[in-house]
Amino acid sequence: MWFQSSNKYIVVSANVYTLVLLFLNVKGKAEFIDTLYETLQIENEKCKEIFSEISNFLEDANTLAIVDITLNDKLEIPKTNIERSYDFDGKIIRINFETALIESLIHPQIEHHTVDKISDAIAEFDIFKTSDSLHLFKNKSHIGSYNTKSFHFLQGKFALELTNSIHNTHIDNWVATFHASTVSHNSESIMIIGDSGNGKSTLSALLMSNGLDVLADDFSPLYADMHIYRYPAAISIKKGAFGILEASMENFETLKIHKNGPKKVNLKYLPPSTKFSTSASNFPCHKIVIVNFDSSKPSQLKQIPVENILETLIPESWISPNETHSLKFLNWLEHLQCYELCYSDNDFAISKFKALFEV
Amino acid sequence: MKRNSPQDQITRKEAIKKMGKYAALTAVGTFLILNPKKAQASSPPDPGGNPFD
Repeated sequence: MWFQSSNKYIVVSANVYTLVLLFLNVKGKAEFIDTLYETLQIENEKCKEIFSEISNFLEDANTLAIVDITLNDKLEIPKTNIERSYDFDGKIIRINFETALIESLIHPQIEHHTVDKISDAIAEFDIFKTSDSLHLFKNKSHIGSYNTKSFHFLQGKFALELTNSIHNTHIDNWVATFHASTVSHNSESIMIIGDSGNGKSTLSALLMSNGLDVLADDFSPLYADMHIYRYPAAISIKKGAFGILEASMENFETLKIHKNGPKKVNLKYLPPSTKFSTSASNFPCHKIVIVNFDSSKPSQLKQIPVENILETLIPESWISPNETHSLKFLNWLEHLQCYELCYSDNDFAISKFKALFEV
Repeated sequence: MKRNSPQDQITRKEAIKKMGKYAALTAVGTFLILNPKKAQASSPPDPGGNPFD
């Protein structure tokens, strides 16, 4: 069930759902109580209790979400020290970073698109800091401000704005952005989700080196046509996985190591193997795999009910609070095939993934 | 939402009967609330991983 005022998703049992439907369709408390008495012979006092419980449940679920609005009317864009231009299939994006530290939040992931300064950019971003807030502007208009501690929201907002600019889409038509990687093959894509530390990015890199197309790493945007769109950023690989990828990818050892980043470990940024200009921009996605790297359990891939992935998928994602989008999202969930991949052997994971594209 | 066509009422009563008395008394309390993020985000930083500190 989805609640519009709060944008909450609540998974309920069939029994709660039956009682909620009864609550919503009777004319009042008396009819609710009469119906329960007639059908199940539940005594009056108990029926009243059930009525109050359902009423409270619905009231809590519909409590308005608190929307943080930061007004920045007086913000002035400072002179920036670092100006960069990026080319995405002929679409030039300019970004002005106030400092090298701010640049390090965005630039390494898209460095492989850098070009010399070109004047006709389709979009220009300014990113700067005042005290402990980071600010994002697009074409000199304020997009958002974020506490420095929450800079991953700036990265997320920028990622969506960038995706929207390079695909000529409409910013109000994005249904969701998932904390997930997405790989594609032939005409479909499969999303990979999992708690942090379960190797989503490493697995994506391995799948890429085995011929699959990484459509998006870490940030998978879903548009109103219910396709996942290409987010052409590099895959960020943590130090712990350097060895695995050096063994399976040419030139991995030559990639620059980034230190002192927000991950507290050294990182390498691995650019996608497919060229943005010659690859499809979006794919439908009807399969999600939740990955669990665990050497103590036998490796296996099994189909699971969609309810089993919601606890990982929804709290880690932004889902548009727009009613049309929410209905599209719920309908999409209904038709998803979900799998759980438990593995400790990478070759096992790669072969199972390839097989999934054949199902 | 369509309200209370006679057919809906019959189906609803059947669903209630199927649920049974005990389930109706104990149903509420078994649900899972999932809140999506209020804005788009990339991977969160590691604890203490704020480069601006």
